Amino acid sequence: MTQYQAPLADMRFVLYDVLGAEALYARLPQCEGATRDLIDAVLEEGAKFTEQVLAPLNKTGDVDGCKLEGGAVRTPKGYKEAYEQFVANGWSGLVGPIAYGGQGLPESVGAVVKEMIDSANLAWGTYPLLSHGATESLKHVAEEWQREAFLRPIVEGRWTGTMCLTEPHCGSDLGLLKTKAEPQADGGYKISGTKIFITAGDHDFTENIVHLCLARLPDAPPGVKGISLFIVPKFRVDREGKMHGRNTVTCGSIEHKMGLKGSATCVMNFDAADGYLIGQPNKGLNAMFIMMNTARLAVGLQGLALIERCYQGARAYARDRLQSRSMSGPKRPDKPADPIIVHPDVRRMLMTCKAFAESGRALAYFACMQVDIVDRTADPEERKQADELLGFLTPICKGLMTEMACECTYHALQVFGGHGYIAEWGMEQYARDARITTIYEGTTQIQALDLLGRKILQGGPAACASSWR
Amino acid sequence: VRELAALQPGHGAAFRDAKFATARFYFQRVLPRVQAHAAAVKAGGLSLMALTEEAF
Repeated sequence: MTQYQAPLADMRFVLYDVLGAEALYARLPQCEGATRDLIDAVLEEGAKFTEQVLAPLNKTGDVDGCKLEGGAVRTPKGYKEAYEQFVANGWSGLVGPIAYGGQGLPESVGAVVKEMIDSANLAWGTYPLLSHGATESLKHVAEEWQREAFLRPIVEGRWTGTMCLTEPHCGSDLGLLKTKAEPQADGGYKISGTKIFITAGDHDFTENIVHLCLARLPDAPPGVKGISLFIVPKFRVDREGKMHGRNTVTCGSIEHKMGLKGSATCVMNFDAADGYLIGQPNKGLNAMFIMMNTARLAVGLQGLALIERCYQGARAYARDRLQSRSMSGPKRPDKPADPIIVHPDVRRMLMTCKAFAESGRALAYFACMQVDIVDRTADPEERKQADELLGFLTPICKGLMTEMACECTYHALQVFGGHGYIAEWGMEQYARDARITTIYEGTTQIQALDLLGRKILQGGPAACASSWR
Repeated sequence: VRELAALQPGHGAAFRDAKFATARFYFQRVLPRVQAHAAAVKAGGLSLMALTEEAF
């Protein structure tokens, strides 16, 4: 099996040369610190961490999987230690707000590091990924005390976050959701219901987990207009941010899956669990879309990361494996056969992976730069345009790059022939891991509906034209 | 890409040539998928939905 090597030259080429990141960061407010020297140092450290710490745990994590023991999830061997190192090195707060303990670097720099994390170990990367989605919601809709109490520990890496949306009967259609929230005399809420497919719903990394949970208030209108968003911590937290006893939110079971086995996919039972409302009552969908859009871009990056990783494996094997002679005459007469990289259809498969890795990288980083513009520009017109463009690009990034991850992991496995199908070379794991990316955070079909229905037809030709400008 | 590469002498000639070759491959061998997709979209949804549920 090949070692992962962060493609730093390609990453820098896209960031600096194709997309002009330096000029963008220099002109955006609160971005001035993101100089090329600093970014290069971050990327080099990120390469070291992901290559040396995360990549070696990818296969063992797949073999070990997660275990549920006495109601608690135990993650694969080495995952917790890797997370501790991740936090100690300051990675958890890389793009987090400075006011809450983060380093405030641009999202598009965070995206490069995220690509490395996901290439090295996709399953491990899901734990910080969900924290990032929670961070975005807390940043935008939470009250000040909620940010202090919940956002700061997540940015500091002491706690992680989750998104609790899906219920057994309620998947893509959130209007069906049933989980209840009963208001209490002290201003809090009691949350009751069952959530399924909760990534990182429980784990052994941190002392607390912050669940962001969609539920209905007693007087809520039916459908998506009656959904509110709540913070439900694993251990109760008061308004001063102090941790108390165990809350009544528990992991009932974990799923047995095709891939991504190191990532705990939990059934979460909320049994009159204590929670706080975030944002306005019945406006949970808006708050949820903030973290959903972040998560969708992040899943697009997962697709990109898998394309890059499986390409690296196939490239090394195609150079090494000797079978048959080139159709245009022997290329390595000193050897018993030529390396299979001489054969045209092997080239087609390698080139397809390479082309999607490089073009996908440009698309993904470009979309993340729109996030930076939306977050930081002082010009309302520029913000509006970047926001429209981002809305347009998000379903494309998510849908295209995850579908291409499935195609490219197929090609890369095929380059190995029978050796791709057996576990020894690691290629079948990428194919299995890739498969979830076209499903979670909105299937490809949901992305298509979003792109066509909401972004193109509803946005009208003007929005499309400005997106293509 | 050509303009960008000319502006960025920091990358070597091999790096630049690989970018050109990859872009050319993409345009010649991947992008034509668009034409097939477009033809399918333009054909409309009638054949997609024509079969009755019972016929499945």
